[in-house]
Amino acid sequence: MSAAQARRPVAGEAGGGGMAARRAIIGWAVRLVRRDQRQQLLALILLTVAVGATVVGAAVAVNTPSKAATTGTFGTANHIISLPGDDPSLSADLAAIKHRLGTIDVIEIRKIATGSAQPVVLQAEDPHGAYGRPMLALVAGRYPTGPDQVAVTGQVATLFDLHLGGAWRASGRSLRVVGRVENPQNLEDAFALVAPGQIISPSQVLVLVRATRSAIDAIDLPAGAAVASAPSPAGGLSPTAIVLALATFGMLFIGLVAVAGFMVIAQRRLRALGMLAAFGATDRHLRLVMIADGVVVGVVAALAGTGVGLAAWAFVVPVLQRSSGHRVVWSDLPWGLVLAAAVLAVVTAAAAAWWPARTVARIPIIAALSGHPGYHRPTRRFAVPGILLLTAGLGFLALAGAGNGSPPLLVVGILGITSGTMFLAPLAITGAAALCSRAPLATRLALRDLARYRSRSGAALAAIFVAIEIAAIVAIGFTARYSNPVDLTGPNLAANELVLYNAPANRDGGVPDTTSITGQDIQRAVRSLGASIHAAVVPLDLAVAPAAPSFGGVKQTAGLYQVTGNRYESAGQVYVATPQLLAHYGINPREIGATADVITSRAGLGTVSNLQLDPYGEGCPTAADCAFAAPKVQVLNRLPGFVDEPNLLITEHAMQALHLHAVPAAWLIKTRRALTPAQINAARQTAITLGGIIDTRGSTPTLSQLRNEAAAAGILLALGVLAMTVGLIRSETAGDLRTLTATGATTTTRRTLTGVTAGALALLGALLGTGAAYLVAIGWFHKTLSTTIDQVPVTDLLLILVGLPAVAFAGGYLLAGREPATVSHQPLE
Amino acid sequence: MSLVELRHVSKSYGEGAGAVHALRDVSVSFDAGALVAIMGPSGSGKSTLLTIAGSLEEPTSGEVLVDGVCVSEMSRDAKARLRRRSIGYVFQDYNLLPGLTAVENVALPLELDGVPRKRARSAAMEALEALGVSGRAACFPDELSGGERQRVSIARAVVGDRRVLLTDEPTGALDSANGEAVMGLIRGACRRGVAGVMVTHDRQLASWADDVVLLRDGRIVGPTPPDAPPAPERAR
Repeated sequence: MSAAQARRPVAGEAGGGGMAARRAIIGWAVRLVRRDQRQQLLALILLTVAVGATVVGAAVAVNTPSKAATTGTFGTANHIISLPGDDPSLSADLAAIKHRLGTIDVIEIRKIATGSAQPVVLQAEDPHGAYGRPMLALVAGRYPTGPDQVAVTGQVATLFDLHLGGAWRASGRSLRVVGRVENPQNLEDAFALVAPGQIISPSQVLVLVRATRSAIDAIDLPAGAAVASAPSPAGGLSPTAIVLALATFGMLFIGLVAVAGFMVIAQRRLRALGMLAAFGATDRHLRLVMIADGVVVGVVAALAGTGVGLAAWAFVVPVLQRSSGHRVVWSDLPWGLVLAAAVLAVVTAAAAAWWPARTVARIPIIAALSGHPGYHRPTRRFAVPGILLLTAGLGFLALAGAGNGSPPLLVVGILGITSGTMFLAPLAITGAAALCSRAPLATRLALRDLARYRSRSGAALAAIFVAIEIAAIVAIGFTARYSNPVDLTGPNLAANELVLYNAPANRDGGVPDTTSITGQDIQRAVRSLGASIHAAVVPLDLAVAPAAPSFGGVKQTAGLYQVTGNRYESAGQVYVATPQLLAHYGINPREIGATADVITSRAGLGTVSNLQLDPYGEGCPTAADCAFAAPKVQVLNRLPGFVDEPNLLITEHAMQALHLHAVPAAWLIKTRRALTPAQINAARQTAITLGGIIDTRGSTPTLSQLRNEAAAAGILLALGVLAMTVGLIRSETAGDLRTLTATGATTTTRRTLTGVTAGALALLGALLGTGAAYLVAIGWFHKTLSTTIDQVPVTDLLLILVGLPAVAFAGGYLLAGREPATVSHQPLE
Repeated sequence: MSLVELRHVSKSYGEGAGAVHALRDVSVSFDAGALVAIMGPSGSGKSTLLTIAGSLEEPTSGEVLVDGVCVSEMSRDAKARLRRRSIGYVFQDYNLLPGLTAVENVALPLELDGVPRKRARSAAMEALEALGVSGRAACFPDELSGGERQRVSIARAVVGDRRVLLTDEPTGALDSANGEAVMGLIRGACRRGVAGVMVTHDRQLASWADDVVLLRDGRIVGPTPPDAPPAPERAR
């Protein structure tokens, strides 16, 4: 046996070892990932869940019902001209429309009596029509082509017990069922399809067109014709952009938690990394070990998350299909966003591993070899940059709040305050440890350990306080937003309500100059609808000044405004306080003050300055000409509070004083229970016939819902972070715990150590998070502090500041206490 | 020829009244082909001298020359390169990297230096073979006995033509038979031109060395211990 001195092989690169070195390091790092699986699990699970949630969220977002609701009624057309079936010059009218507007798609309709409230129509339509194609899909069999052939939807087949190849006698004709069809964009649509031209006497003819409203208005339509317009697409951010923004924010948060996890892994590998440095690894090599680890975790999480998300989406598809009432295709996913989520997961994991990588690479080799975490910079050094960042953040927010609310300034301001608080977090930990220097042993030790190992306790605290900060900002921000009595925010309607507007213009507070359908016809159709869906129907009138100017064929109605300089802020739709409406809400007209101009359910509206009741709406030439300044506002709590409900009514007194007259504009339709998709569909069909539109409950939540959900989400997130990080934090002091046990510490001591660790982190996180959120609110709303943040969400704050630390302590106390297996030193191998 | 030279090296930890002076004005050189034992009581600065000689730590004052080049003027990357190419370490508790097999542990310094994996592996196998542990090349550290681990550790320290071998209590965790075998290997490496430096408490172990440096309170107090026993003949 002799000592070896193998010759150095040639081709060693002069610098950092190049690709060969990187490959060797990455290979080792990958092996380590397998060895330290348990420690990686935290980041892996969080990232997997985030990617999975993003995939499902994105899938749900792009398959939104709102898009389908439009396509399911209009196809790819933007207007539907409804012609009466008994129009004597129907062919000529259709020819005229085609001549003026070009391509048209004609659907002939005849109602079939079913003996139930569910309407069924016989529909003659070209399955390959220019605009109606998205509204028709073949489920089985084939489309009808001959005079006695029909294809039916599932509902019609069930209703009449029809089967493919069977015969059906409808409208005095015998038809052979040749196919099963559906409206994939509106599965509630029950109809029987026949070939074009096969309805001898249609009750209604729908003409789908793509044209401007003015082009349609220029056509001389017959009496009884109506025009319905597709709602214009909602402005603002696209759902995929919102999902991507949420995913990015979520990943940022997860990144903070992952930093704590990678910090523990780095500590576990400290001696091995020291050894690597001892035989010649550069700082870059050392960092690469941890970063490669992060990338591996990110790639695994991205693949697993995408798989989990796609599998979950497969389960969500039928549920979404049922709830949204339109066909949802599994593969209709924003694949770009799915890829972006996967890339984000890899980037987040790599970035989270970067900080621990940088930290361990800086530890002196000798300290690393002895497993010593190295020298900590005094926490007071973080105070100055922390305070500077806080001040800068406040400055940016003040600028944003003072101006027009520039989003970049707002974001920079929030980031400034958040990062400033992060810098102060180690100081808070040290301060807490100092404060408790005379506390009982376990408490003192737990806090001292937090201060000693603050590289990971700091990361955990940052994740907790960011969770709480977001929750508190949401709670405070929405409280401020919802407290504005002029620009009312919240749910538009109750789940059992819908509003049917006679014309789209009515929804925006306007009244069309002319309507082709008489008031009596409208009333009859709406009453019939109310009877068929067992709903109460309450007419809603708008107040119009005879002299109000007309813009584009629409007359503006009286409105309530807060006037600031030249800026008019509308208080929303003002309906007329008709006896019928008042009676519906149980209000005796004598309860209304003789001089009250407006009655409302909005508590703060009476104290708002610069209010004007404008009889001409926004059509008023100048404020000085027509404003009815400082109207007397009376608050009546019995009036409803949702945004599109009649919560702001003009009184008889004001109507007379301003010489206004009431114009029927809409109908509040109210059922006993929440409206079913079939009831909504029936209302939509009626609206189309009348040329109007309907409004049903949207997705805007109530304030208390929002606040409670935000607080619960923040608390759950914080508890999740604690559950995942307290074990890691305590693992660093496992040696101390063994010594403590050897010197006779009881289970209670060990339990208290973990409980205090969790409770202290939770309390500090809650205090810092809430404090940071209030700083954001103060900066942003500094001009209107008294009105915007005066409503403190006491319950939610108590839950955060008291409940969270208490639950964290209890959880830590109950789950800890296991006696360490050995009192030993752990070697590198 | 001196491969490593320490000139007036001092090292202090901490500042002011609480400062600990680990080394005080130490000057010593280690020649190619010679094994020098550094002895002294606990806290005398033996390990500090070793780590400073191996560029793992910076002296507070004085200079360290490896192959005539002043280490303190080198960048961190240059020092890392120096350690990859010229200096090998053997520690008491082996410090093999977990997750890597014996041959991968030995090949890693070469791969870090940019040697392609195949060639690095083959050089590592040669080193393991020379140390009699090639049969355990595919084993992970936790599958090796203490003696085998230390042999792998020595193979890693000498692989790739390294010219300086620094060992800190290399047999501290081994039984006497394994300890002697390991010392024989270190001695053999020095016979091939390596400058060997060994920190030890053990006078018997020091007898394997060509020279002994005695340290006390951070100062060299003598070139050889007065009562050093004769080295075993078979090892010379």
